[in-house]
Amino acid sequence: MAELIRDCLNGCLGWMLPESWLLPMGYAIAALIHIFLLINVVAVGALFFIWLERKVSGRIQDRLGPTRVGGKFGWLQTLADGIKLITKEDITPGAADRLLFKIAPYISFSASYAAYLALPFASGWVGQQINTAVFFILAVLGLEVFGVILAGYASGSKWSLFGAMREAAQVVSYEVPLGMCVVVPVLICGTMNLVTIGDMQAGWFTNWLILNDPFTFIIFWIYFTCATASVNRAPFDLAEAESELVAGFHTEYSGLRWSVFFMAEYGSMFLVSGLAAILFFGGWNGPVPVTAIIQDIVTNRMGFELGDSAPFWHYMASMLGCLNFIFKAVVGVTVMMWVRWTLPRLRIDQVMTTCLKYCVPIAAVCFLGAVFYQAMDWPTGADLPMVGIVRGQVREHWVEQTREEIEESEREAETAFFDGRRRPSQDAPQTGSTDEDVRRTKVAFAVREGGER
Amino acid sequence: MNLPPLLAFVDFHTFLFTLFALVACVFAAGVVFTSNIVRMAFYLTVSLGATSGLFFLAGAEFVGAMQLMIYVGGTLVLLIFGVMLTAQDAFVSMKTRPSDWVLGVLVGGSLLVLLLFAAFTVPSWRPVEGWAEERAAIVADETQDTTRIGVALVGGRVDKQDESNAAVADGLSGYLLPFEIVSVHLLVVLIGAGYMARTKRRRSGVVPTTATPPTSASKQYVAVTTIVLALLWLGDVAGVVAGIVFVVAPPQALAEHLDSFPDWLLPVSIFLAALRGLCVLAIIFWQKWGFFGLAALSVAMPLVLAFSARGHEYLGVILGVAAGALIVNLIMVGIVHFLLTKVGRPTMWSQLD
Repeated sequence: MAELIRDCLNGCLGWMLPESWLLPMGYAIAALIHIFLLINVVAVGALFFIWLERKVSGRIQDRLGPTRVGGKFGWLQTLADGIKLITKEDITPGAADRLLFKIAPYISFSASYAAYLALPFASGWVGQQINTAVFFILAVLGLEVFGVILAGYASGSKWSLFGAMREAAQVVSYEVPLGMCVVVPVLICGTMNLVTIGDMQAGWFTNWLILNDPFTFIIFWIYFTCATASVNRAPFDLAEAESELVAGFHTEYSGLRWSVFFMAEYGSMFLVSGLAAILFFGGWNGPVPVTAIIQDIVTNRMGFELGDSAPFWHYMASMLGCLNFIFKAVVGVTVMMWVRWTLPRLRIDQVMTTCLKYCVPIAAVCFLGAVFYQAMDWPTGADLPMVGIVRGQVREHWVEQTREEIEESEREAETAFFDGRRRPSQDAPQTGSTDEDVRRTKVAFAVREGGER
Repeated sequence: MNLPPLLAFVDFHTFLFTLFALVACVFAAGVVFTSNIVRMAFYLTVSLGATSGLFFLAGAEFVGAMQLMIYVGGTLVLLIFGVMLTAQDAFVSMKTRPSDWVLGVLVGGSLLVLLLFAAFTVPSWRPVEGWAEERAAIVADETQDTTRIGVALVGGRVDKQDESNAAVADGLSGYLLPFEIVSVHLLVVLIGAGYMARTKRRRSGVVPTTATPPTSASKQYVAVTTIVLALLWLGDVAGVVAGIVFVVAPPQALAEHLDSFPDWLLPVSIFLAALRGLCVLAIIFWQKWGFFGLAALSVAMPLVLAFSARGHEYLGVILGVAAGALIVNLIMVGIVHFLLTKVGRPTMWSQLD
């Protein structure tokens, strides 16, 4: 993308900029575009979700919810809320630690937002494709609580501090079962790369990891519970229990700073739902492989050649996948709202009991069960005889692709001039390849996994 | 237009490296110079986060995420439990005495001098010719993933498979043993933390002691101990059965691995496991010698395994497994010992014959 922008810059502004500036500027603009797109996901998402929450809660409580602002369904209610919040006074209490008080909402928001960097929206549509994306998202998401704790501490109010401490205890506890739940799809797919995990579930809905075996089916519900708790949503919203703590950690906040906390909260909700969609529900792959079937019909049955327009059609397929993914994530968020307006809030000891006595043991047992299931190679949902691609094929394709990439990098390594610094071996073929070891591992992988499928 | 080619010397890596390094350094200095303890923790978090940014910049994504998870998240927990729960006032501020400053500058300064000295003198840390191309190749190499780390942790060194010297290759057994030791340490820490944090029951006070007669508590302990011992016994029996099955009809997949061990290993192991099962039964039936036998055999079995591995192809791996088994066995013996001697009044140990 950076190269494309450089060429564009060269075309229109090349006469006034020195040659060496173009590529750095291209990178900067490409980065800005990514940032802009992702921040819109969070911000527009929050606008939509707050409206949705009002409607959902209204319906559950036998009300109508917003009906007037912006037409029939009150579409623009959140915008009106936003204007109200902007015009409110931004108060800092006298007892507060001013710097930390002012900065805390932005810490929460930036932690929630930074995790979007690694969240793919369709195959390859990701801010930064990270090998360890699952791990990265978990690590960054855990930092969101930092802003909450600082807010509670810096407010100089006992309600805020109580709320923050509850939140801290809760999030630290729930990270344990959450981590265990996330490990199971990683172990089935053999990678922590979210794009690969999503691609491996291509095909019919039976390829979705939730239908892989009974243990993943159970563990999804544990994941959802823990994710709800870790983003501090009811029935786990102890940190802002208004019946006892006024409003918990954001008691002293007003105006725009207050709303930034909620942008962070809705951002995290979408994030954990999106993660659930990728890890358990096939990510951007629909229940029926529509695009694959159409492509099959058009190219194989009807004999059309895609030719030069292939990138365009792939783009359209990715667009469909992106819509698919967003739909799944929104469903997840809606379920969280449904739960919030249906279940009463738990007490703090009940929260801890749920985590330590139920979630952790069940997650541990399911983890062991899933390992056992994989080790015994018992039939999975992906083995059902349905038309289309099964995960085994996708997996083999993936291994094949990596193998090709490795071979290519080997060829490159032969010509690379820093080759001489590597220690040549005696028994290995004298290609001097830097990736011989990786290749062996990968091929062993391929033999083990591809061969059995 | 002839603008100075300023950016020609600045590529993105250098720019971002400088940025992250500056953030890390400035906030590290902030940790030193602020007196508010929560702000210190906040600055430390930012500084460590910038360090993880450096790792991401270097393409070490796993290490970067680790840094975020462990150091930044760890500081968070430190902040919560170390600072907030121990703080007496609302905003804790620390006054540093002049003597502390002198000592700190001395220690920190000498470390800084050492690090700077190392950074500019170690030859392999100097940029060699062609470093830019090499870096580009490493950054573009997408096959770098966490597989190697994972394989190394379970005992294989994929980065050293080309080692031709047999003596050296034998020693390259991966990091299974350190991994096992660290895991067991963490387990000990976890159990200890749980023990420290649990609510202690009051022994004296208004609670009438007659409410829970001591005999029933003792019965509970006996029941728990019996269950633990029964599980141990079942494990031993399973081991004996599996061993006999291996002797009678060795599975195809394992046959060649079994061949590389001495012939006596399997029968001796079966014998020891059977003996240990007997000892466990002896404890259940209130014999004191059963515990000593259990302890001795638990130590002996891994030793036998380690002894049998002399000159084996995967000596290091087997030694690691044996050490792991030894640690696990000792923990089990420790648990049994704890149950026998430390719980219940009177203890079960005194009731053993």
